[in-house]
Amino acid sequence: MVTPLLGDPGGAVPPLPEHLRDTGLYGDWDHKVVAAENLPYAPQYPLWSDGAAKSRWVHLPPGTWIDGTDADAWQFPVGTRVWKEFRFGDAPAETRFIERTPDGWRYASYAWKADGTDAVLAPARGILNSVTIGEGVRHAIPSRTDCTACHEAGPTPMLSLSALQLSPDRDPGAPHAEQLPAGAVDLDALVARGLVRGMPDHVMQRAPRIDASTPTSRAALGYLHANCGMCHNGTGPMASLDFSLRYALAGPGAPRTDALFTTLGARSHFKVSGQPDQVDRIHPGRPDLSVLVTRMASRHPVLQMPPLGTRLVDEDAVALLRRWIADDLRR
Amino acid sequence: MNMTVSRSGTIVFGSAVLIGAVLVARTIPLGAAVGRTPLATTVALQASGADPVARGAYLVKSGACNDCHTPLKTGDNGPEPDMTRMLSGHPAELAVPAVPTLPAPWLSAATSTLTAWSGPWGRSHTANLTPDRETGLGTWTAQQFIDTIRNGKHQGTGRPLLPPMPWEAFRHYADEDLASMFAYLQSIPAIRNKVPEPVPPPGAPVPPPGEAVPPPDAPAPLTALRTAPTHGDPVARGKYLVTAIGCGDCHTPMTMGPKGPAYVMSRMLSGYPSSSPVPANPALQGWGEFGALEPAFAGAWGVSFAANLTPDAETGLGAWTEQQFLDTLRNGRHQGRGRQLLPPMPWPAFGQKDDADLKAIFAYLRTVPAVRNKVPDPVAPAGK
Repeated sequence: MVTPLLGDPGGAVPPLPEHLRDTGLYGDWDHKVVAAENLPYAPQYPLWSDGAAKSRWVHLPPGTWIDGTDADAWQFPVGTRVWKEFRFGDAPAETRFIERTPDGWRYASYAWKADGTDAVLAPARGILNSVTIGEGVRHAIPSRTDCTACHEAGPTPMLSLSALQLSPDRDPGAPHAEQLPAGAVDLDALVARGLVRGMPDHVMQRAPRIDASTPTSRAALGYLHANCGMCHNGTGPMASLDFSLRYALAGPGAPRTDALFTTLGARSHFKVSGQPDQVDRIHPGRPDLSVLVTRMASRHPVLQMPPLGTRLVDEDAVALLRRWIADDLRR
Repeated sequence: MNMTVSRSGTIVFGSAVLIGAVLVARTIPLGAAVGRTPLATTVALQASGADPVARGAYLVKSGACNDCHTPLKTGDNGPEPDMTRMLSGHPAELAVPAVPTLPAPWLSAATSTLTAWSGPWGRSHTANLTPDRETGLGTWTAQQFIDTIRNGKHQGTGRPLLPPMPWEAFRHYADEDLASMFAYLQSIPAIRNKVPEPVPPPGAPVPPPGEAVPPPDAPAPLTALRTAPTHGDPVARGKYLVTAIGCGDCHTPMTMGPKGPAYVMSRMLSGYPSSSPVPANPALQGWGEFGALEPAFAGAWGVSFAANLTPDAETGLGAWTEQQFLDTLRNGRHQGRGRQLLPPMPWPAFGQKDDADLKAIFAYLRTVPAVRNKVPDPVAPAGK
């Protein structure tokens, strides 16, 4: 039974549990068996997390469902809980937790002990240097404000629970594509169980997918959607940048793809130090002149994109983006 | 962490002899006390239902007093304030390295605790603000606290406050705000810590005992406010906050004038001048933070530069939204989710200001003259 974290209806929201075992993820903590009512899922375009192996679960309170009226911004009921475990090697390093309370969404991270016997609530400022993930590189557990930086920059805090990300039409070319875990729910399963309701016809009739002319383009646009679109979109606090990489499952007759319209030949406000010939976000046919690629390929604190959440460059994705720009985006 | 090179420039650079004034007792007629009785102000606050201690807690925590008056400790998780020593100033037992010789343009150095500061004034140490009777403010009156801030002198009439204490900005706080801060400071745990006396700069002459010391220049005249502007006029409220908090102390370049450092008013709030060279990090052993007249700062993070806060569309905040400004201070990231803001920008403190205050600050910043000035990118530490 999932521990009721929210307390009595109308009462104060209890504080975040100090231990992961008290968040309701596990039915059997001693054997690390996840409770059956927490549904595993895996987005088709995973977020790059320095190569961590990830597992995700969602819990919806009994009798509730996701409002899928806006296919690009699902609305989740109060009581929704989501967990995401990060593993480097054999051991879990961190499990992140998001919950919708009556007072709003809240975010937490649980840092695992090296022996795997416990995972304790990380301080609000995060943990700068936790487990080793590479040569001289340690995993950073984010601060709560870093959680909100990504999760509250768009139309919904749930970034990988969406019609596109859970579509059964999974992109085989997605960088770091994950196998569906045993018992995973996808869009069809959620609809069949009545856990997503109200979706528009065009999403119900055909499994959502990125509309692209080549497999490379499909994979690149999907990657940008998942790794950048949470901040770079047309509706959140960064809309004023006019730089949207979020893919919209628009209905019939929808106009252009924002990711191309706002990047291809578009001037970059950010200037790369010492590289005056890099002026466009994406320069047609020239990844070497594209600020987007330059920033993705860096982990220099001023230059890097994304600005938080990873310590290592996603080399596979950088190669994909270079190929996409060189081959598919020539003018 | 309101880092400045020298806020009380007229005192520091008028004469090195003034350092000797630290040791000379001075009396000032009671009638010269600045401001009205804070007790009356505190009573008025309470009568209105406002709790001065709660208000003072808000002002002190969001005003970044902890950044200098609570020692910073550095561990595996980066620097964080040692709250077991909250607001108790420079730890008495902490050995401080000898005053360094700094390469130009660097003028000041702070220890990694940010509690001992070295510069042309010699070396100063942040005060114990806790209500310990022997070593803190336990025997002070609210009026003495207010007069200290208003006059830049210990207890209002004693030795000058030394840099980097931003009293010349803080003196613009209204009576009620200063009285509230004092009320809060009197309520926090008393910590016994006898902060060392300031150390004069090397070679400073000290007058023989009893010999008269010329008085320092008086601070600029000020019509002190009894109460702070309300949010009914956000721009006025924002101007009050920006002035009293002292944003200009870091975000406005200074030059050395005949009486010491002076703001370059034509560049108000426009940050580090793009025309100035990017200085190298002095990276001296034992010192944690370096500062200069033009607002560049160096430390373990590399070299950072104060931002252009004017509403220039290309180089300042002109294209920013109000929400991006709030998110910047709340998240400590450029526009709320970009690169991290670097020290000494005290965003963890300022981010505790409520929405109304942050919006008022942004509203005021939209009204200052736009200055086109592309502040350089921060310089990462060597090896990054």
